[in-house]
Amino acid sequence: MFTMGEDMMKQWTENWEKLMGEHLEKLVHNEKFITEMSKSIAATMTGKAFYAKAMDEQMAALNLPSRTEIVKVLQKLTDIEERLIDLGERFEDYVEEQAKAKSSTESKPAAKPAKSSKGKGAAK
Amino acid sequence: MIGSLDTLVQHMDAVTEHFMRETASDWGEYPRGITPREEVWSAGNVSLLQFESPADAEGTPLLIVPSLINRWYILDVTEETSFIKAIAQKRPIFLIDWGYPGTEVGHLPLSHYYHKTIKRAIRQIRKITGTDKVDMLGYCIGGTMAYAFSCLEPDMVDHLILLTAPLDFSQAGILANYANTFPVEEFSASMEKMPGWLLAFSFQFIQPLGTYQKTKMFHKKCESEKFKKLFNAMERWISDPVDFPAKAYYELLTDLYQDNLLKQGKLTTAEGKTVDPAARKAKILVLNASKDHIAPIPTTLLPETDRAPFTQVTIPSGHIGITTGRNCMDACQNVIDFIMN
Repeated sequence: MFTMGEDMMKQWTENWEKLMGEHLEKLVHNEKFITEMSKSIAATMTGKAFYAKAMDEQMAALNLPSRTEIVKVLQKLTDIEERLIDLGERFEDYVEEQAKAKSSTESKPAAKPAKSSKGKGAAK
Repeated sequence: MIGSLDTLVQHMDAVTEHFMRETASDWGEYPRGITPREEVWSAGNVSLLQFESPADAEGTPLLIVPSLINRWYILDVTEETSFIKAIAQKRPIFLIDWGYPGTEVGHLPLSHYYHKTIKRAIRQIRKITGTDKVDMLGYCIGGTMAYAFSCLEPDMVDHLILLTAPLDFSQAGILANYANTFPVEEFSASMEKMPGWLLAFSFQFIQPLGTYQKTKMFHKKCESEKFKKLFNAMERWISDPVDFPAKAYYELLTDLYQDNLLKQGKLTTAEGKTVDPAARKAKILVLNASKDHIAPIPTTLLPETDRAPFTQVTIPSGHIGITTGRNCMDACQNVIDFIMN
């Protein structure tokens, strides 16, 4: 009796899974569903933008910085940090080049005396 | 019938509660990544991690570029499934941790991540190891970014592994359908970031019965210690979502998903440099998954203009399963064989 009930339950679950799986799969691929969901997201986002703008105006009326302004300041700080990293890298490249140039000029004098001993280009 | 169903639900509740009570105190045993590491460089949210390797692990360093839409430690979630731990035995290994981007980076373009940041990371690796070239492994969108970088800076990348990385976005299945109808302009006007929880929610649409299947599997296997360990570690990773910077997300949807510019060789950086697939010199291993709903196999194929040789291996698993599933170590072995040859 128990086994029969368990089997029935198993069969029912399997059928439910199959049906639900097929139904949901169709639904999430349905173009109308996707379009309607996009419209709903668009409406939510438009509402959010409207609300944010209204809040900004309220804060401006109170002579207080709004969230948008604070975010802009944070983004400016990020830009400054980025610029500093770029400049740091350029400076490192410059130091590296200078070090290379210096080491190459330091290695040259060893060759020069040989040339000058022949009397060529010594005045230069 | 209803009585049986009620009993089943009660039983599942009891098992879940027991399991949660048993393991909640062990949360600390599931860290964000198991391989010992050190932060060797950071800039803003981004940091470069160097993983511990044995002294005899020499050769070209491997730089891992994880996805921007989730946390990197999916590649290092448990000892048994860790790509990072396995590769670190052979090669010096670095990883770009994108961190938790907030509104302060909402204005940065996608190329800031796939060009500027990767280049900076390689610069630091060069300082540490003295090598000019690196091998790269990109997972998911990280693979797309690593590929774009290898086209922009072909002399900096030796071997490149694209782990379930979408390149041809016209073939991206259901995600392409959603991306094509997503209200990008409204998003751009109202959001400073794409919230991580919303991204996680949208992935529910790819496999609508995913949560149900997961619960069912949990009910079936919860007595196994091995299963519990991986399940907990995975749950920790899932419950650690990251926000996507707004401008980068806008460009991901418009330039890649909607206009498919990477495949056409028309993708450009914010500085105006074109990502030309024909310029790629790196040896490529395309590692894709046969049951991948996020980056189906046709999506992972290289653009036609990219005529340089490549190897392709398909693993019988899904998008996440390739990193943690039963065949993940096969995928990892393919990576090791590829970079060692």
